[in-house]
Amino acid sequence: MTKKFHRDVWVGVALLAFCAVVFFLALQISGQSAVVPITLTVLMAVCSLFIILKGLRLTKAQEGEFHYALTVKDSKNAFLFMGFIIIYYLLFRYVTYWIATPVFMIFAMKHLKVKSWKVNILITVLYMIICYVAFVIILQLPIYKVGVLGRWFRYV
Amino acid sequence: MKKMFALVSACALALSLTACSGGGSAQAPNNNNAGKGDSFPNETITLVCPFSAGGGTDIGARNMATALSADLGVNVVVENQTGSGGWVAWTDLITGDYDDGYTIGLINHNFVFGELDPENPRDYNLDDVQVLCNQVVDYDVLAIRANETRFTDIDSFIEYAKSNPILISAQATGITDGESTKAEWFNKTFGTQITVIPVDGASDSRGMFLAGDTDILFGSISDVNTAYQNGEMKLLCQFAEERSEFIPEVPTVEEATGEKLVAFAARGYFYPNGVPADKVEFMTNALLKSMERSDYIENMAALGLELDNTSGEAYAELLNSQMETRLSIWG
Amino acid sequence: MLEYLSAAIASFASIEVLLALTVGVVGGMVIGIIPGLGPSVGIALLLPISFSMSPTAALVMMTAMYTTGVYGGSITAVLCHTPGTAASAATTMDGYELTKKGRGMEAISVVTVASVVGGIIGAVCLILFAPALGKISLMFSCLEYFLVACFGLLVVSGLTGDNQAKGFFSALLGLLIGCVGMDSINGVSRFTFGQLWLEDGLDSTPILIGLFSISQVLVLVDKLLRGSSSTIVDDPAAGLKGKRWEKGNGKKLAPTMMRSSVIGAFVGFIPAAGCSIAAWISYSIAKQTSKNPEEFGKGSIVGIAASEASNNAACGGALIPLFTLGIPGSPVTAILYGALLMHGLQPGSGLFTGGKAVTTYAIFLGFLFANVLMGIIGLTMAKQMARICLVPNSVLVPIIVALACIGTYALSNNMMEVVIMLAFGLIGYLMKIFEFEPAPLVLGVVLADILESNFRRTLIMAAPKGGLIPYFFSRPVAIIIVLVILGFALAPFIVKAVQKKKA
Repeated sequence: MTKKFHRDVWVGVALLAFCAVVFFLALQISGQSAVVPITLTVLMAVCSLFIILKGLRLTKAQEGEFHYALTVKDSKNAFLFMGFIIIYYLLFRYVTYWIATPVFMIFAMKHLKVKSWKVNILITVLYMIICYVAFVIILQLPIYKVGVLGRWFRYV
Repeated sequence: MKKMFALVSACALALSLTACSGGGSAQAPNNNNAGKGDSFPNETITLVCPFSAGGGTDIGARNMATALSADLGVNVVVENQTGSGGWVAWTDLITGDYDDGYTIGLINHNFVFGELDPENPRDYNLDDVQVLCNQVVDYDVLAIRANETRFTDIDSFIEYAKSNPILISAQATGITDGESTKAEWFNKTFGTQITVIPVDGASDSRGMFLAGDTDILFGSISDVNTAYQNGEMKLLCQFAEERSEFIPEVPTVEEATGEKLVAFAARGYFYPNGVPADKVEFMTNALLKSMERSDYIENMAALGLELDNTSGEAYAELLNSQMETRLSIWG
Repeated sequence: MLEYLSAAIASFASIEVLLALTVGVVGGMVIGIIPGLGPSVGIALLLPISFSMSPTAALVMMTAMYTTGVYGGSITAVLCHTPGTAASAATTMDGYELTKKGRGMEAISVVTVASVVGGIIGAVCLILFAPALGKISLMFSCLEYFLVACFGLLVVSGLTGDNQAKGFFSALLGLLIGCVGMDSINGVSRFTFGQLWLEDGLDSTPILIGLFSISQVLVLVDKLLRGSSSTIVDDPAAGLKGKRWEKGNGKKLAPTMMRSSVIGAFVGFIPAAGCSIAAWISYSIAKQTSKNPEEFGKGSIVGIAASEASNNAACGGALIPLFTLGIPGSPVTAILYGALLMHGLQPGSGLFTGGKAVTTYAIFLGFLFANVLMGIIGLTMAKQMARICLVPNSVLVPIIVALACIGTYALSNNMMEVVIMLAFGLIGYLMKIFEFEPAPLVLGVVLADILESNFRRTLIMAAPKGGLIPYFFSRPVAIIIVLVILGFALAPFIVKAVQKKKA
């Protein structure tokens, strides 16, 4: 059975691949403008190599399983919540901030185990009122342009 | 409890801000013009400024918003949509759904040259918009520092520049930029050796000029007039048809050298193509009428800007007028 | 000047000016606290409101908002790991560590005191030396901007964390991200993929919010759902442990605050540099001169004081070239420039003599008073503010997300900024997993454009003067900066060598 590598080896390899893609893109830039991006990409590739080397050294030094402070596998909750944020963004983008936000906030607070509905709704409503007064009435942010229902929430 | 306190204080702040804005710029006047109900402007009109807040275009638009709002009896607001030298806003206005006439765009002569941009040719030109009317013309001048000893007038400058390298700054190096065009014109007409340093904005140009990093400054009258009146800069010539009333003692380039070049910045208003003709006419007239208000004229004069009310076809021609010159200069 | 000052004080008898000052200070703090909304957005949004006010009141309100906006951004940086702008990023690391230990109140007090000291020193420079310093700022040009940015880059080496290769990788990535957009020298598009909104490049603020706030939010969520902690403070039962002000703090921090304020005011008045570079430079100088540099990044109040004194002093410094020469060096001062024009105050020598001088000095005094008022409010509210970190994360997290979204949208009224912020939120979390430091990346983005475009401008300017090297030697300020950089870079080695000899 082959010994498992320290994850930094794989991280370094992934970054090296990223550098290769960027390098290819940087080559397409014409003239003087390409100098800095190409130099930076090469330096980044060198750094990736060092990351791999360090990873190999850690692999050698380590006996048995690796222990990481934080791993992708353990972060399911975080990625799930990131998914919620993205859904919230889509609602914001295509419906309107003023509907997306209360939906998101009530749902997120429930998800994050705020037990009392009363507290949940109260905070959401207060946030919405303050936000609307500050951004729309005082600062006249043209946020009504975002989303199909945005214009219903325009203050004129 | 403390949270409540924080919320209450935030509300208080909000209220105090609102109070402070009382009598602010384009406050909604009571919509009590009798019978206005369904006549054209009966809701908020938006002026979309493609440049950042605090810039010359933005301040001009805000003065216009105040005047227009007082005239039409509806709220007029200015919204800044910046990016890509104006093209983010212009693209949005042209491609978006703004046919109801409640959104007016600001346009300047850069719009016209967009399609000539060698690196990023733009897809739109004057055929894609209906221009309403102009607001400001700002003629360009050639300035030197007050303590300059190498040259003192346009002739000695040209003589000097034929045998010595001259540095200027501009926001781009090609046909799209007015300063670079003037440099190219000098190089071609008089055989001078002017090199352009690209900078990010007019204020950078000014700083480099004052610091002595660049030798001369191509600027607009509104940019340099205060420094000129304070004796910090001297003006060698103005690139106008005839002398501006702000600086009547400065010769035009034609008077000084015999060669003619007219260069200016113009900015005004436009509608997207989809807006019906009657609204275009209505709004053009409304804008022209607002420009006659005395408070508006006073505010604009404080900025040192020359007002202009060319409208319709004539305005489109004005925007296009430098096109031929530039094309011939750049070959 | 004295007669102008005494006449200027009289203008503070007007209720309008006092109200404007208060609104500016409080509004600036609130705007700074909202992630994404920094002083530049705040002042831009105030511009229409100030339209009908008197010049003194309008400009006092806006300059007050400038300094308090920077301060407000640091409050949330300390309490929720949510810096308002890049200027507060340096404070985040140490401040948040203190907060986690329950010493949030002390951290806020240090932030406040240092900000006030820095702000006052900046304001005093502005009042006393503005015309003279304005002349000095003309000695800085592209080459000097480039060298100052190099100094900033050097700072990165102190922020790389345990794995240096990873630290440098994120700094380089930051610089590369800074290259995105239209090349400011020749207009060539780089990595824009034909997208109009990428042409102006990526702004550092949404990247910062993503990397710092959103990724931290995800960490909080993860902890919460696993039941390991429900508030920012590690041990909520113990409440706020720290005192408002430890005895001896004043003595401990005074030298750092003074030094950082002077550095801040100086870096601030170099037109291209600005608050964030000032903060980072002061932070790393404080770290280098400290007897216990290992404390930095783990909750050092000296580190907080260094970056905070510096970024507020830089505000005062940045106003100098604006008022004396009409050269705005940052987005904030560019808007202030417009505001000055709008109120008929054309920057230049005309502002310092004759009729307009009273207004000018009234604005400067207003700026000074704003710093004092900010301190009074900050210190009285320190305890209330520190309680934010006792609010359950389940409530705090949705509010931070919602505010970050509307805040980044308000940056330029563009949804794409929100997309960038969220993308960097995810990247920031992945960086946390794989142990990459986010700070070098942000610094890279801030520095990239200053470095590249100014170097290329220098090349154009040096060409008629016989090339880069003769040009360099003709510029005394550039030589001084290079010597300072060399001193900074080599000092640790020299100290080591001397110690070895002694031993």
